[in-house]
Amino acid sequence: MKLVLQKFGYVVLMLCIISLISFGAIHLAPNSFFASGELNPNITPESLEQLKRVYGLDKSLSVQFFAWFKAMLQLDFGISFASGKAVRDEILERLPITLLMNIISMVFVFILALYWGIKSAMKQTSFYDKSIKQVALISYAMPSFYLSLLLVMLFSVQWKIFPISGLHSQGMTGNGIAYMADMAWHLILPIFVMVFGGLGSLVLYVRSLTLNILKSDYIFFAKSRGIEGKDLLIRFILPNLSPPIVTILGLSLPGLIGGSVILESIFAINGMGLLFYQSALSRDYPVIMGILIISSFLTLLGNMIADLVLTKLNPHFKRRG
Amino acid sequence: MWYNFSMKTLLMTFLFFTSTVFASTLHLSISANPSRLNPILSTDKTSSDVAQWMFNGLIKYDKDANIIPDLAQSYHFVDDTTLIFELRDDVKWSDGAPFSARDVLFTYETIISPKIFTPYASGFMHIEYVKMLDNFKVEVKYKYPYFKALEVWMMEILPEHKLKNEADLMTSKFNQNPLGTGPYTLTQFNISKDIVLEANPSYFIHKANIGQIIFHYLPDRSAEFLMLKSKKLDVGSLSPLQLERQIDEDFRKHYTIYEDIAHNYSYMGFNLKSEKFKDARIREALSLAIDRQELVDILYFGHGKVCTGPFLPGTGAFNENVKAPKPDIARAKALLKEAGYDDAHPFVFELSTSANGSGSYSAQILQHQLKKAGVVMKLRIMEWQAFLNTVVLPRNFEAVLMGWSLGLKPDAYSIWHSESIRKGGFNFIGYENSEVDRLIKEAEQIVDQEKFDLRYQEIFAKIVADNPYLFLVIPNEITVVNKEITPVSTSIIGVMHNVVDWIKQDF
Amino acid sequence: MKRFPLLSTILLVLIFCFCFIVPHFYHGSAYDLNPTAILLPPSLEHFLGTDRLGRDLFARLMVGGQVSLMIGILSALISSIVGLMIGISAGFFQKGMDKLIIVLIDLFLTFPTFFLLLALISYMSASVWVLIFIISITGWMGMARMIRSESFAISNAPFIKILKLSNVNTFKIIFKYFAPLLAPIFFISFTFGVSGAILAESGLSFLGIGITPPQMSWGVIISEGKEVIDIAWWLSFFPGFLIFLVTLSLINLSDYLQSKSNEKDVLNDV
Repeated sequence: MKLVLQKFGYVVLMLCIISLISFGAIHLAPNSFFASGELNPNITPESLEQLKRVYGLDKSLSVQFFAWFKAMLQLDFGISFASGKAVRDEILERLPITLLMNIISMVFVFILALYWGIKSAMKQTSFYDKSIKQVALISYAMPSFYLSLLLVMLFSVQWKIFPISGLHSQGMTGNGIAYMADMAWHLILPIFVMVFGGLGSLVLYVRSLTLNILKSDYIFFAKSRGIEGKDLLIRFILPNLSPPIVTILGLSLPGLIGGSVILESIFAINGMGLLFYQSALSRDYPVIMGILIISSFLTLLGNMIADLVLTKLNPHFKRRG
Repeated sequence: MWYNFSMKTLLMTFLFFTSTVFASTLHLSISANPSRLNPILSTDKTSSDVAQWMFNGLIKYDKDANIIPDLAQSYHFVDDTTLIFELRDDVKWSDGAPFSARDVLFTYETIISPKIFTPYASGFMHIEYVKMLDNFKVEVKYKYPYFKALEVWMMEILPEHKLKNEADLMTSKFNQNPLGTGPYTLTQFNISKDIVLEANPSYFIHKANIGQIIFHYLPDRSAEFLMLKSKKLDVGSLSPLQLERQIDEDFRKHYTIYEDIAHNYSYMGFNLKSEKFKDARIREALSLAIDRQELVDILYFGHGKVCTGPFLPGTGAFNENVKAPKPDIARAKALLKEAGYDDAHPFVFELSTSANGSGSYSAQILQHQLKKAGVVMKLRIMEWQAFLNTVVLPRNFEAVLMGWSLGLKPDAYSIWHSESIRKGGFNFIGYENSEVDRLIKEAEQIVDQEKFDLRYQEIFAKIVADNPYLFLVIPNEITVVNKEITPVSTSIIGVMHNVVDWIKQDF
Repeated sequence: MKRFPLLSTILLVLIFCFCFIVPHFYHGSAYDLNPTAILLPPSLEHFLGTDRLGRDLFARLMVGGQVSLMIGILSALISSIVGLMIGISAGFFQKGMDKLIIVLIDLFLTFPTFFLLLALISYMSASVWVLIFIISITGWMGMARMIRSESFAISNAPFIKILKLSNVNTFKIIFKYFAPLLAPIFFISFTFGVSGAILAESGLSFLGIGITPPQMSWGVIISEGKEVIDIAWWLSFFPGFLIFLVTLSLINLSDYLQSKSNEKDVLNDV
């Protein structure tokens, strides 16, 4: 318990440092409020001053920071400059789709990676193993935007099997099965790209973990006792695989809410990635800060959980030296 | 009474719903999420694109850019500074509340309020007061004769009854759920779904024939084009490249193509405070060295016009006697030589521009053209915000490549008057011509359109003669409309000017 | 016994020659526009077709490749060296230094690359060097972590303890005894890092915030091709394919080095 508190204290401290750095970096940068790619000659210097007053940007930086920090502690991230909506609402609006896509793809990635990784390790050096490994390396090397463009080109433009972009067909409303099916049909290509991109590293990781387990003494003894196949898998390999896999799960936590900017813009999906990217391009400070803080919190939390799980499962292991 | 009223609305909504089953839908696209569907607060194009269907101003432009009454029944000037609007008495807000002069007064007070930020406030600063003469009559008193006295009132009117108790309009829910007098009302505005508008059954002209407008969110230009190609949009815009190379017979069978000049132009602006460009010969040489028509041909496949000056053709301020210079490399070289540059000591300068849009292509073409005249132009291409904040606004450049979007009523003050050189003003190139200054100030107080136009034509010629900018290109706006829709016609204000009358034959 | 990835190595060498040597012999220019040759498909005159301004894609791929490869190699080199030094410092000095480095690593892990890039280009214009800088400072953490945990093990090895006790110069210990033991990890993660950096650069350029014209990289060419993908597939297909070939070859190479070093460690590894 003490360890948990200590780690949590660390997370809080880190959050403070991160807020300070990002707040400074953002607010010290020169800025104006011409969001789009064009100047509006109707905006007079006086009205810009007024804008700063309305948003409280005329106050000193430290006053602004403490006001922001105080509100942040109550989970109030302020108001988006661009839309005038609360940053929290803005994030909550975009979160579901990103979360949905990430969870679906993560489930696929983990199941497939475990299956192929273990199978490939158990049949090491076979043709099967070699092909799996090559596919994994290809998945590693393939730029996601390139894959997306190729898929859209072939499946959507050429063969018209899948929709080009977006989440819903025209006129699809409601919440029925047809609606869900329609959405699933739209999600197939982007999720395929996500799964394919995430698979490579995890397959290789599972494979090398399994290889190590297979090399260990207890497997040797188990095998010599005649335990094989499924039994070996369930009683020895899987239990030994679980700690590192849990760690990876913990480390993927922040990835759940962070959408991919490239994928979301190619497939026109209004998720967190696009929100962050667009607010960064238009210098919408409150939104940028809100997302940064939430995602760093999750990153730190994920690391912490991974640490704790590892310490719990293996008392000898201490990541922090 | 109340009961009665709500029964009626209930009945109406019911009828309305049953009728929409058969009514048609207009499919449009937007490239970004609208930020605020509030006409006086929106600073982005997509917000105005959506909000324009829900609100009305007191007056508007007709098809030929003449001013005609909208929410007003009529208007007249009592003298140079006093304007009277007689309002229509048959207008209802889409929630049924009647529209009145109160709303006009409220809108004016909101715009000039220090608590909000609106880019449209500048026009209203010249007003001394706005007075309600009776429920449907408003008097506007200007501090002095003001040339845009009328145009200012194209500003959309907000509902007073809905907003009078709103503490902070900037963050109000109204901006996401607006209520107006316009031909359509908002029924769905959800970030992850399409935006849906329904025809307002009590619209004061008549209920729009097309029952529903759906805006599809397509952030990517190529995605929009692919949607058009698969015939899922009724109205869309094409780039010249798409028009020339990417559409087929089938596309032309399905869509009618309308082309008209866009209301913007691109230019290369020189930093006139920099020693390099103080010499007028240099500016003229560069102007002669570039081939504007080639720019139109490569960049827009000929779908554009060479820009000859600071105001748009088709408006009264346009001076048709001013012609674009013919490319003349020999003369350009001679001028450069006079100014002390030759092949051994070439004239070198840096052009900055933003990576948005066609900026980087135009810059590369210009670079190529100038090379022929022995001019070395270096390029610096940046992300928009960085470009604006580290280059344009601090005037940290030798030359910039940018564009201006202009309204139909030009206002030269913010770009060309020497007072706008100050920080935050848009005369960032530092252009100073006392003659032009005087003419701008003079024209500002002329309400009479013809006299105003004469002054502006003079300004036009004087600015062009000074070569502070190289005026480059006015691109064409290419719009395609589904052939099932009638009646559609082009107009200087775009094909969408008569959407209320559009009928879409669904087969 | 993993075979040496001959094919990958040959590919890498060929692509290198293509980018750095072939331009000296090729007739086309990467910059000359030609209004009469806009978006031509691959032909004998233009092997890989032309782009939106009529420029020869073959020539542009070579020049773009120089930028992509240079960014890839330099940023991987910088980030690997930074990671190596930070990792060794943590593992060698341990205690306070280690804690500080952990904080540093966590900090850098929380900021997305494109955000740092945007923050930086608010002050200066984007260039090859800015991109190298950004990709390096967001890419060293993986290396640092690996080196760190490895260094802990080495640090605790008896011979290092003895060296430390016998007052041998710290730098000497690090360079003479420490570093050689870490060399395999360094090379594995360097080859890996090059592919990562190339992907990062192309991603940023694809979004339009990386390399800007008239400079070009493969990522820039793809992103220019995206608009016209339905009529000029060659513009995005070829640069993307080159990126893919380079990264795949590098990863194969890195994988080979990895299995090589495992072999040395554990002799019974297959």
